[in-house]
Amino acid sequence: MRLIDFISKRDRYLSFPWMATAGLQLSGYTLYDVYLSPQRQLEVAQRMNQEFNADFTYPMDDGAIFVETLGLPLLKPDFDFPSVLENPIKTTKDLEELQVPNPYSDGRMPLNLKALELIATGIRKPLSLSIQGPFTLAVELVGATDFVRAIIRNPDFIEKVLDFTNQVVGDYARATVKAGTKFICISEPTAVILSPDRFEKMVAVRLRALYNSLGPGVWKVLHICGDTRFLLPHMLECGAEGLSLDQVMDLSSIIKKVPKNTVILGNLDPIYVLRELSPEEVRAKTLELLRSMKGYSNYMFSFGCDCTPDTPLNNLRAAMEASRTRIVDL
Amino acid sequence: MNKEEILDTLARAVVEMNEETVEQMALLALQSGIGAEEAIEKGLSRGMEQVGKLYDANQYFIPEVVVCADTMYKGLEILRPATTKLQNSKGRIVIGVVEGDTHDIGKNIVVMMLESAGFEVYDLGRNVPPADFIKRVREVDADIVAMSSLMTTTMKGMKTVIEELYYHYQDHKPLVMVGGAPVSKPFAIQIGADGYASNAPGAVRIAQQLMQQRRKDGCD
Repeated sequence: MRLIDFISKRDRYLSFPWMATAGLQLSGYTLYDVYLSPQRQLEVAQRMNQEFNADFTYPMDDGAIFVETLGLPLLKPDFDFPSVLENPIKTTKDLEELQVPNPYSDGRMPLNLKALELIATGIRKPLSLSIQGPFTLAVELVGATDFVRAIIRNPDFIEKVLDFTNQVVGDYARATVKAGTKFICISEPTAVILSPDRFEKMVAVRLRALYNSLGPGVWKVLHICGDTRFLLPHMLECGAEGLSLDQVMDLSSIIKKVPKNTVILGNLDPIYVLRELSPEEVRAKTLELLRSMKGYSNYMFSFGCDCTPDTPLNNLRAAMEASRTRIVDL
Repeated sequence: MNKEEILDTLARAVVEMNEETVEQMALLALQSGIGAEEAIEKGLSRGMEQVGKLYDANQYFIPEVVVCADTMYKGLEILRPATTKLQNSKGRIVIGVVEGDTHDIGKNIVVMMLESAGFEVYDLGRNVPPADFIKRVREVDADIVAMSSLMTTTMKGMKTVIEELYYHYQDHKPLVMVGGAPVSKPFAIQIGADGYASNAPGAVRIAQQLMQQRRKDGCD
């Protein structure tokens, strides 16, 4: 069954919210308390399911799994996502010293796979997973400024880095599918810096192959932050069944332009709505978004990006409750 | 080549990312008696202005902007030591990525564009604690503090820096401009920033406007 078949012909819009860090507020665990224990991953996913009753289940977001396994130094706040402190891959020789991690034995990858298995079997909802894409990982390895320089000055090096990161992400993604992932969202936030031509050559070509390698039984989604209107035609052609779009995008105009079998996910503002407004205002904004999507069966409710760990839980409850409003009642 | 041809070629070489030509033209400018200051302003900086326009028009993207700026720096390396007077700074700017955030490409590009526009830029790098901003502002008597954040989870750190600036300087604080992918104009206003830009050429325009405002307020 395709993603479009799963979400359409229902009396309400399904929801894929990006709010796994709310689980830290609910549980009191730090991020690494959860990352390092598959049992806690399950416990948090169950708490999230009870609290918010989304249409998918999910583990804690883990955008750092690749850079951490590859040994990059990280800034690790207790209640926020890790960030890369150094970007050490500057030459082909540096790259050759890196090994493609084995998802079944290296770093935290086996723990994540175990967590996915536990969640997939422990909660009877499709298991969703968001992972960093090969382009964004490549930028993390090299450092953004050096990376964009090399795009023009040393394109052969960039190709090698991208081939490497494609292997890293692909191996892990395929292992997560075997562990029970049904819905995989690949995030390529950094791709927004590219021209459409370069996006096609550097991102879309590899994503097509990667999505294809995951097999037909997995729902494939692409997320890119920011204003991606100029990339949209290429995003539609990169093998994803769904596009998750940022809050800066005007979804009501975008959805008119995409094929009916492409699912559009988005895009409640995680900052200015979810974090800043009152529950009643969040509810109103959610309903406003859903109403603007009326008539489009290829729409799925989601946030424009990951919500912050300090987002008020009552706001998340308000958004999720409102998202379950039947389409006829909107 | 006459003076105009040299300056035009210098500007064009920046736009075309031709480091060799920039170096040749910078040397030729000096040999021909063109002042280093004039070669910087009417050659290199003019080239970067054109780059900004191409970026605004979606003809150049971030890779081109960075490599054009690198090309400009090649020319500056030759011309700066030859400046005969202290360059007339357009303003002193302390810039950094706020604490908790290590994404610095946007900030790096803004630094390059500000420098090319004649600002004196003090780059604190990334993951900068509020106290470091305050310390540097005091050391260099900054006119403007520029902050960026690429993460929704760290952008609130900008507000902390502004509050600290108010605490230390009250109404005489440097003006503040902010930017970064998740940052918006309403957010900038909400946290008390004086300016917001969504991209690097915009940041230069905002910095120029803020300096005008500062001069009008008699803070220069």
